[in-house]
Amino acid sequence: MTRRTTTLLAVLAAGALAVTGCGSAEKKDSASTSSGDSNTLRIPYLADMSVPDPDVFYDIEGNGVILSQYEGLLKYKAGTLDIEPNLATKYEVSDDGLTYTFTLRDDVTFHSGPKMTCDSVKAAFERRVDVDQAPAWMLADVKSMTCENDTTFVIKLKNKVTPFLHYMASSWGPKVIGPEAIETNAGDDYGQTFLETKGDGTGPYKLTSFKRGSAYTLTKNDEYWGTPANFQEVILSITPDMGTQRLKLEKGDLDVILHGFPASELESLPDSVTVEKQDSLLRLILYVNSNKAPFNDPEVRAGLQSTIDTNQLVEQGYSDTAEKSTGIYPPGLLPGEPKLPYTPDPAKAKAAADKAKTKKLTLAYSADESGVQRRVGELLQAQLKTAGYDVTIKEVQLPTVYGWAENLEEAPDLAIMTNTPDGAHPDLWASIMFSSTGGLNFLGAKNEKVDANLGKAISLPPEEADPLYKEIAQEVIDDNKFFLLGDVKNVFVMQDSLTGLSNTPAYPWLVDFAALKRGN
Amino acid sequence: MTTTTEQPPTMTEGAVPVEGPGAAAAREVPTPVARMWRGRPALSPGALKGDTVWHALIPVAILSLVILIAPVLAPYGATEVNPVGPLASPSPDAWFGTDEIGRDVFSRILIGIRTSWFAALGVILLGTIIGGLIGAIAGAFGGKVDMVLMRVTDLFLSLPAPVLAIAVIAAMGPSLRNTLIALSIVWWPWYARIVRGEVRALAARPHAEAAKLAGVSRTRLVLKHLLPGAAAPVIVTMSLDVGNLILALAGLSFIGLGAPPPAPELGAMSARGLQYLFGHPWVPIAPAAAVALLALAANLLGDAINRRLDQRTTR
Amino acid sequence: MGALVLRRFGALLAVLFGLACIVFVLQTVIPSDPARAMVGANASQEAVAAKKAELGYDDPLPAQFTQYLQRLAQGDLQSSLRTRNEVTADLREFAPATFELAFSAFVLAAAMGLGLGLLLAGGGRAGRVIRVFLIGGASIPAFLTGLLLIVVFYSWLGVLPASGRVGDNFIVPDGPTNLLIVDSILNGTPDLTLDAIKHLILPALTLALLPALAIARTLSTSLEQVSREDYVRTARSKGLTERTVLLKHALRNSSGPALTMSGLQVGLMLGGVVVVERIFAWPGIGLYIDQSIAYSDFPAITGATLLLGTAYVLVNFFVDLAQAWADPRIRTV
Repeated sequence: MTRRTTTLLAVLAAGALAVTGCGSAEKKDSASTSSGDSNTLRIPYLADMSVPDPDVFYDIEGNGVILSQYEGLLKYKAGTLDIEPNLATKYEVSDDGLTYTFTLRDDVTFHSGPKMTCDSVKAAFERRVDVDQAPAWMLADVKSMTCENDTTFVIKLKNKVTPFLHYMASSWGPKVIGPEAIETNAGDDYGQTFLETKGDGTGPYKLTSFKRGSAYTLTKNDEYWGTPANFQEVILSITPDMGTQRLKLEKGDLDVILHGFPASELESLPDSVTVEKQDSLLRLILYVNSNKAPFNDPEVRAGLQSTIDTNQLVEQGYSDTAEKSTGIYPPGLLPGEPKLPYTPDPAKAKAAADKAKTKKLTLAYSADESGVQRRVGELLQAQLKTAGYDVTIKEVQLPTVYGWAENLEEAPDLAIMTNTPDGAHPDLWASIMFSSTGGLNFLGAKNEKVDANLGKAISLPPEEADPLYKEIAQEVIDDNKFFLLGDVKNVFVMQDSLTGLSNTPAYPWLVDFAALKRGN
Repeated sequence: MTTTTEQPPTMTEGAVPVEGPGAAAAREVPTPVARMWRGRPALSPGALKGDTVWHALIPVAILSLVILIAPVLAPYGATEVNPVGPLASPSPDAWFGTDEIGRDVFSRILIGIRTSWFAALGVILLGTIIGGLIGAIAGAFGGKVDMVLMRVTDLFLSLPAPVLAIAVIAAMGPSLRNTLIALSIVWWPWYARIVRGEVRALAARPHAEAAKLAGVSRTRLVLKHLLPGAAAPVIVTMSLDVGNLILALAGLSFIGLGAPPPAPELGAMSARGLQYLFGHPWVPIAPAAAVALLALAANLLGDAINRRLDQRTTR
Repeated sequence: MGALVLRRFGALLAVLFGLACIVFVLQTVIPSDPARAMVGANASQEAVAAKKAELGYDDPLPAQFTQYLQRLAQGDLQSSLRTRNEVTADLREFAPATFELAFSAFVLAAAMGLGLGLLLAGGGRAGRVIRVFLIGGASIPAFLTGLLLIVVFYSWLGVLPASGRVGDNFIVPDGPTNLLIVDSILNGTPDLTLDAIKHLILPALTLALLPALAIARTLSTSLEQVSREDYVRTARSKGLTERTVLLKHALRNSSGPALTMSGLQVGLMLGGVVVVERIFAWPGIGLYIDQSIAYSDFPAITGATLLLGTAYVLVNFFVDLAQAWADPRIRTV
């Protein structure tokens, strides 16, 4: 280095110092830097959410941002499948089942300031229809929406939809979005651009920062109408690697890991961390492609009942974070439904497999961060091998899965997925899974009886609909196009110091952020 | 960087061939520089003793033996379950423990070395064949043929190989075959360069000139006289590439684009086992250590051959 | 020189066009159904068909290709299926973090490469031992190296943060460059600068390991080569110390290949960021690619590929020109 450059560097350094002065970028209100900061709840996400827009968002991870910011008219009561009031204090359904009258709270204000009225609710519901993205179907049967007065919201349906109240309580159901998005920043896309990074809701938290790829910040809503949140701030940081998440949790830099923690590693966690296993409606399912050989032969399909050892799949795949499924519907949705008859029987399995036109199978599993579906896939591969099949296994991503329906000949023979219904009603599960037009019926299973019964049941009162749902269940069992393997639990790995855990089976991978607190 | 008159001409040439876009300047490439890809040592003084190659050959010989008799050595099959149960710690019954399915990690590594080795070799051979053919044709014919072929090669060289491989696999869907195809697509240009450079340089040598004068056909000239000369640096590059490829496979598995399960591919085993690092560390660490050993052995052999060749040429 | 710049520039355009073609080919062979993914599970067949038409997936290939080139020329990379944003906007958001990381890793790799290269060229047993050790170290998959570094420096020693670009107790400035270190200096917040540097160390080190080895090897071999040259022998015979000879004479003339190698390593690094950014939750292009893969978000993957490819091509274009400028003999070829 010459003398000149040295001098230059010195000048630069001095200049930099002069410019820097002694400013600080640290936030004023957060005194301690990280561990044990009592006012901030830190939660990792494995991936970015799509968008924090309730009328577009239709995934699971990200539901915390939606549900602590926005509220629907109804919700599921914590720890149950029961519907309870939320923004509506009560509701009435007319005798013909076509008119729903909701009485709205009058003490709710939006994060942006204005009071919530019936008109704002109506505007929000209309927005969902206008935006017309994935969750819009829930309002597809609506004929009209009117406001009788500031607190009376009336929805008239074109035809009877018995689970309609469940739509209102669903994690993805219509939410009441404020005027900041719907009016002020509507633009020409109903405020979709605004809602990509901002929000205006009524919930206990408001979205104050949305930095894609890094973190989302929720700040306590001091004007909240209900029980105020305990934490001043919730920071959801994108931490894609589970190992990194774990190390940060152990060190106290994260508070709760909501999902994806490998079941086998729970035991190796230190004492400062507790593990909560809670019921959810998430289900592990095996799809069978009945549109091509070998499983277009009902007898070969039936052989799978004796081939699959659900006990082993669930126990080794999930340890005690899932239970073996006993019925077609998620537990609690349809009491008295037919029991699943799967019992491993090597001789029967082999006999059925011997009739198969081809023994070469492809087994797909959807990619998930904890690798649990891969594990189940590999176990199943081994079980099928015992029966005499030669199984190739592959990982697929969701958009690929949607593409199968277009060319079922090329689609895999078997597929392992974990799905959850939109709400706690038999129709919400059966329609999307088993109906031939169902959005989650990825391998094109067709069953006319199922379709017909689903069409009938949706407009019938429960006492008449339930026998039909049971018939559907029996049909699905006998048809062997879907195998229900496991009821997956929510596994929350959290700091020992946290209390107030509250969650709902119908809201997967989610705890109520507002109810959590540090210490007693 | 300033130019000094003292600078030996080889250095200039050394800088030329790997320049990225439109390296038309690289038409007269001398042999040693082509070996530079990823830190290949070029000519070095024959400072080491002649038996270095044999030192390096010992681990490779052991490795080859392992690869050859892996199925015999392995107490269990690659997908066979060890009765000690899933995620069991290392013990006399399961030397390196078992994985999440209960498969024997030691057996899987033995067989995995084979899979990874063959996978790497497959890519390298494919790269050598495609690249060698293009390089040989370009080098032997020269002129317009050379220019066109090398421009295409340059195009591929100018693209970031790893990024492209990721995109290719993401498009075709992950499978061991697709992964290997994708890697071959981005791997061959280096071999084309090396072979072409060697062929060009050798073509200018007296013995090639003599053969030409004696009326030997061009094909025969290339096959008999030029290609064998290019073999040595290609072998060096190949041996050094084994480690790089196995690491590339591991990285791809980590982002979900590697060999699908239950293939006992070392990189995939390590990447998929990473989630067990804290509770059951043997699951990811044992295969990673095997990757490291494999890469190390390949590297040492490559370096040793390189130095050995060096001595031959400097003498 | 002017003609050379022109020629190289022409070649640059050709390479970029080639890159665009390759990306287009990739786009057309995706086996998934992005239209379906966009409209959601409950959408009707008509909605899917309409979306397909809107995205232009119905047109014949040549028409698609022309449209694609037109869009590229306008800087339009379509919208991401996942973020619903223009991919260009997303890339603008994620690129600075990757630039910061890749640049730091590059500087680190060059420094480490230089040091190690000199050590290796010095020869002796120590050099050989270090070489073996280094090759071994660089032979460990990067995800494992990264995680082990976190275990040591974060969990055990507690001196460095585990993930992210900055601690969440800081207010992150909104510009002007979006390079955190630069911005924090410009805004006069040294505590933020320090925190950003701390966050940068581990990912940059993980990323730099392999390139550093490559640079060191290249440098040491060319050093050995140069040290046999007459002028170095002359310098030695003048009675200069070995150290002076190495640093003053040999190093200067061995740096060419090492420089070229450094340029090439940028390509390797750009591939490495996908793994490293995921482990360290670094909000850059690599993380963006990783998340897009999991969503089969093809517009995003191809957009990011185009950006990284272009960056790599440009870096090497300038390395080329710099060398031609420094060494007149290259110009004549």
